[in-house]
Amino acid sequence: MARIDWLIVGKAFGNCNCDYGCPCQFESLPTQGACRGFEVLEIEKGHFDGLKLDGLRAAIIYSWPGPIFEGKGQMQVIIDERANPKQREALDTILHGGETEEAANHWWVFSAMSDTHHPTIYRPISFEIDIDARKATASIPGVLETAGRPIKSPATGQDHRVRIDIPGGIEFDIAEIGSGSATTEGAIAFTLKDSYGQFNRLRHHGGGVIR
Amino acid sequence: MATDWMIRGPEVASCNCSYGCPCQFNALPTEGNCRAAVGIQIDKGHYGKVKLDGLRLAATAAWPGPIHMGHGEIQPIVDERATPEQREALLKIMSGQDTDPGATFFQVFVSMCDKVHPPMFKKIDFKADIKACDGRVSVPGVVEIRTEAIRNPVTGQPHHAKVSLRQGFEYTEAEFASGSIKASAPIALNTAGRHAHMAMLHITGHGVVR
Repeated sequence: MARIDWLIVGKAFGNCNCDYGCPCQFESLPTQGACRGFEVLEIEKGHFDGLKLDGLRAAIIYSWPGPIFEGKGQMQVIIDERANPKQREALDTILHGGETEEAANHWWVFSAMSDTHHPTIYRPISFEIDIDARKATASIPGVLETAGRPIKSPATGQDHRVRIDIPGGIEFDIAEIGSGSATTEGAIAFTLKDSYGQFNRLRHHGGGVIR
Repeated sequence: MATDWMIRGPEVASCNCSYGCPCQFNALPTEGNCRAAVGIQIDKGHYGKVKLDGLRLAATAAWPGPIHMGHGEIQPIVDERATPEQREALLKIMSGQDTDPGATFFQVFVSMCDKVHPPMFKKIDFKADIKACDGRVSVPGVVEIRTEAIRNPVTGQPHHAKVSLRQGFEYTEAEFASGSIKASAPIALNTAGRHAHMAMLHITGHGVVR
């Protein structure tokens, strides 16, 4: 069956409980064994079939007991309350890996690796990100508070600029890496302090990542 | 005045950390300490008027903690084909002389070492297909480094990830790979399936050329 044509072009900030340089990006195991993290995103240009998604925001909070690829995770999607009912349904579908080819993007994989999909909630989401400067802040009252900043060199105290390129990646082609801290409340609650932060552009459609 | 020098050519490096060496991100080493080996082929290079084209270098090194905490030891290994002048030039570069402070990984690593073992002059075999992550450095009886692509644990397919350090003191862009090291005294190393990276180096006494 033909899948619905959709596109999300935008910016994302992600933060997990691993050390700087998330081992997953290199097919290695999580620093502390388990994986807890989230992604906040803003759509600059997007559509789902004929429906425009421009300007909308969303977040997804995740938790796995081990490395992601071993599954048994839980996840919760949070959608911008400004989205209308059709836009809410479209984003809920995309962020749960719907209308997407098998394993073609990280939303598909993360959803498939989650046994528990908590009910999607609709909230005001404030989000500011400067990918090149490795800076981001996001706030979803009662759900998520986070800030990202550059990594500091322990030797010199200077900002450290490091980037990961994954030419065949399912999440990003290029990500600037920084430091993130966060507190989440609700269905999946955790606290992160100065751990892996990722700043990247999204260029996703149902067939994968646009190169 | 510092002598002008430049080296350009492929590098193969591996250490005892998990894939995606945390040092590149200013995180701490996987096992708490750092044990590493490196090989470099100079495609083109000079030290003052001394040409270094075609020569090879290698080193083994170990630190009791993260590199920036110091107290390490390093074993420099220089291509036996180098003339006395070339040997002196290569050892100056490797020991961080004629280099701005913090400008090259040679200078940083040596300044983080308490002990620099007397240099060895040996035959160094070197092979690097950076894009394929396929590398081999062999100094018979001293050190063997082998690298290959990281594999996806689910699909078994090669996984290609590059790391860019646009202000780094070693490379601008490196392919991250899987490596193994076997090295004997004075710095014995024995790793398999650990971090490796391969890069095209281009360095002078002022740092990485960009």
